[in-house]
Amino acid sequence: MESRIIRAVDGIDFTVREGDCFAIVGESGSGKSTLGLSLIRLCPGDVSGEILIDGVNLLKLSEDEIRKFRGSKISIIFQEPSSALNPVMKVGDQLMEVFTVHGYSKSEAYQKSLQLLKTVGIPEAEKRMQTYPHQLSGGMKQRVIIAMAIALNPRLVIADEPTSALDVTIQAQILNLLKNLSQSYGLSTILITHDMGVAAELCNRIGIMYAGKMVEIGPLNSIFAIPLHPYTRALMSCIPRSLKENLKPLPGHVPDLSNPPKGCRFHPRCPYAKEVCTLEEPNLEKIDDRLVSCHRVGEI
Amino acid sequence: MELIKGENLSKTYNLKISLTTSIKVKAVENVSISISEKEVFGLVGESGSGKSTLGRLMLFMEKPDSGKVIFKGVDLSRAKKDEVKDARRRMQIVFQNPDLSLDPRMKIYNTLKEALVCCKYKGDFVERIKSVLEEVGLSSETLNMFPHQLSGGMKQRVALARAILAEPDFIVLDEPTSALDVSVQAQILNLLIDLRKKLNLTYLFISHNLSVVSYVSDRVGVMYLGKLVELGNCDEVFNEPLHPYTKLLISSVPALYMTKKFFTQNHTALAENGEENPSGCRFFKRCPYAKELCRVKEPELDGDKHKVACHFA
Repeated sequence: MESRIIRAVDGIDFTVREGDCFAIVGESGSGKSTLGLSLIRLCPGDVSGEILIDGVNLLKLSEDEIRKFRGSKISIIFQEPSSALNPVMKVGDQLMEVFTVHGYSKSEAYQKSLQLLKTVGIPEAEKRMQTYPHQLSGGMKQRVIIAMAIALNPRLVIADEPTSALDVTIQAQILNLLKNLSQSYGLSTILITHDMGVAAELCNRIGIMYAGKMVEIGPLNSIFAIPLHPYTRALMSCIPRSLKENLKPLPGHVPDLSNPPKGCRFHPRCPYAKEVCTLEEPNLEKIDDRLVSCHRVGEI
Repeated sequence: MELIKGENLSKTYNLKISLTTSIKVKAVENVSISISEKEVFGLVGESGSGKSTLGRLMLFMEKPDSGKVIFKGVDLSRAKKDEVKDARRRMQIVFQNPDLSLDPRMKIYNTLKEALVCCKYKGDFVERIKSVLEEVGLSSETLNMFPHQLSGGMKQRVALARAILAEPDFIVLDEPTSALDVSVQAQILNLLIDLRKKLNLTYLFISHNLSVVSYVSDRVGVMYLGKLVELGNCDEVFNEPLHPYTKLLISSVPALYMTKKFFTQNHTALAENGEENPSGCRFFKRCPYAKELCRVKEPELDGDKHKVACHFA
């Protein structure tokens, strides 16, 4: 078998402040999910660098230590609720497991799980504890997953496309729930999504990823108002809005990461690319309230 | 001029829930739509609303339990076999996921050739396929490739090429961009709009994505649990929706795409649990405006140009 090495995430630095909601936005293949999995040390490949939560470097922890860390300090919500839940185990038992694994007694775990189901807005919580995942709708399942993620009051929740499998009306409810939870628990959130609209609903800061790199990081409002990186601009003008303004599609597609283009990774698709962009890789530079990696950012 | 019309279409499926029992699912119930030549008719609704089934019924891929489909004046349920075959060639479909709709073991050329064989094309296959490929923005090198060698957007272009090779008048686009990234989605949407102008096509555009539908459509229909609840010009439906369900849908779209909000967040909170209300309006349980009349009597789709099925709209 032939195998190739893919550097899915390449030299990314970012910080999430307490209580912040940080969105990582990118197209498929940009490395955003790999980044999310790396943060909680669930990524199968080699991860190098530093992941600091309250000063503790997750990459230095032993396997036992990280297990304790997961759930209590950092947790993750996946895209597809039906594959994240165990189909042959009652919802209540799955929730209780979070507590019993972390040292709670069975009766404590039951009470806490019940309370949690109420917190995430599941009606008739006692009854739902006894149901199997297939008896719940997609939105309800995602609520259960969210309950698991916040069970032990973690500092940071990573939500990887939490609403992509749901209908819009349900998506609106789940986003609402996440917003309320992070406000009332002072939770920090990293939202991974391909949907700029979802990011706009929930987050105050945003990082745009392209081919394994962050190309622009900053406050969401100012990036959406005036995107500086050509890729961010292109993404914004690809969004169909209700007004009949013309879409300006971006030509080409995301590069093959086993052999990324030299220089700036966006240069083959960039309308502003010059010679320097094909030779030298740009660094994230501070411009006003954000970071942008583009050689030509001042000129365009 | 009217190109295709569905009249009182209904379709019920038997869904097996265990070895011995099955339940009846009314996927589409008593729906009528008519699409004019060169029109783009958008169909929106959440999963399970019956929009894909309606698309299949319009193509006669699926025989309706009752109702009829009239294509260019020919009633397909009564037409002779040859007439149906001829009509079929003039109506095509593009599915959501090109990985499932393209044969992974066939080279693109062979996949596309099948379309020409089916419609008994007399000219030079290679020439014709090359020119259509060019129209959908692919190079002729693609011909010798397999689907797995192409990106998602390119595969969807191939699926589109296969549809237009038969020189159709009418294409059902069933979630054609839902599996694609936004930048590629924008490419495909613009391509669809160009092709419609160039080839005088008529589309039935099915999508759950309201902003995409509002971008491409002239008229739009909103489906809920097998029924058409609102129908009208795209601008009217999205700017001045009449049905509470349409209002709920539009309010649920992230503000970046659609800024109109007809419901507060408290209202959207009761949106889950779209159970059927057997005797009255299907939206009864989720509707914040529901009254006694809605529980007992089912509203009819009523109105002149902008139609709505609601007692109190």
